[in-house]
Amino acid sequence: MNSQCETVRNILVEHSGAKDRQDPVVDRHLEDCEGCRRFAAKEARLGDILEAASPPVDRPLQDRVVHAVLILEVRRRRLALVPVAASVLLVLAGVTVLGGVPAASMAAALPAWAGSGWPALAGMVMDFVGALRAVAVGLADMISGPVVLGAAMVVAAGVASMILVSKRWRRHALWSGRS
Amino acid sequence: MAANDRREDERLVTAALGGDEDAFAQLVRRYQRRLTAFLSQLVGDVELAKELTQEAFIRAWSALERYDPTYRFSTWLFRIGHNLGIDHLRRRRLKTVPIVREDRDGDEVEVVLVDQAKDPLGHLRNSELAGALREAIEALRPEYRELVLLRHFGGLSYQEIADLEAMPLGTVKNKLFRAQSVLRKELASFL
Ligand SMILES: [Zn+2]
Repeated sequence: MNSQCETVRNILVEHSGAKDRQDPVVDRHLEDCEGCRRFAAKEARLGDILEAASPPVDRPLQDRVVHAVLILEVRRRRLALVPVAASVLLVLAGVTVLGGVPAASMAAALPAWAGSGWPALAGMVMDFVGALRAVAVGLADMISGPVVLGAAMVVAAGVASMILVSKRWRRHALWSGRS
Repeated sequence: MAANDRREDERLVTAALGGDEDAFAQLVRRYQRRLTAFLSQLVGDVELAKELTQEAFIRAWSALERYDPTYRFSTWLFRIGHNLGIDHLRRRRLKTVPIVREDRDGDEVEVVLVDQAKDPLGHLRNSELAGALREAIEALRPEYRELVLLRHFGGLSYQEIADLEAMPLGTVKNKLFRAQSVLRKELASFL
């Protein structure tokens, strides 16, 4: 065995007898070297044994994995609602304390078609935050500069949280749309 | 792994992140057999290996946004699976007193008692070969054994193993060359 045998055998080990590998250097050497030919045959056989030693493809397991991931997605989507709701509340609370919410009278000024469905719900929400605002105005005397600053920070935190959540939400929404 | 396979993995990961669940299912189909085969040998229990395979895919999915595409998906997935398997072995070792024996080099090795129904080589028709192969794998030093499992059961390339084990490529080549000669010797009558 010479140094070329060693190089060739390293290649043969790496490629399990080089069965599927076209390598002119290896092929040429194997033509002339009986020892490496025997080595290549044994490596190929060992490769076959090890290949057969792996259990076959398990379709039911694959289906279980994909199903489990889909279920996980649905759960995560539901859980993802929690930070969305919390973010919305944070923004509303902050804006209300800052006095930036339109008065409930604005909802009343909406045209008649707004009395049902989503516009009506929006009107109710605005009434609710209007009431909150009234409380805030009542407390206005007690609200000091630092409180206003704190409220502004709450709004900023709420907006940032909504941006973060919406990024995560995108994948959830896409997945749930297909499942 | 061929460059084409790597590109296909990257495409599938990108598609899965974009909301294509079929793409993730394809990744499962590409790697399930190899990951289960590797984990079966690592933990010596094919049923447990299936559970760990499922867990590894779920963790991969959950962390997909954090996956760094500069590494191969296969390396990343096998690292997750490998860590799960090692954690399991560690917990099992804490709960039970291991039975040890001395190998040919005089080192202590743990004797793994295999339940027939959970035997990772139970699907082989030639039970004599299965027994010889089991002994041959057990005869490997632990540092060689893991590389052999990643190479032949996990189907990882030398470069992927080097990345996963944080080992120079040359070291992986040397160790696998030596490991392979142990296997050839142990299985001589079948070659
Ligand atoms: Zn030669």
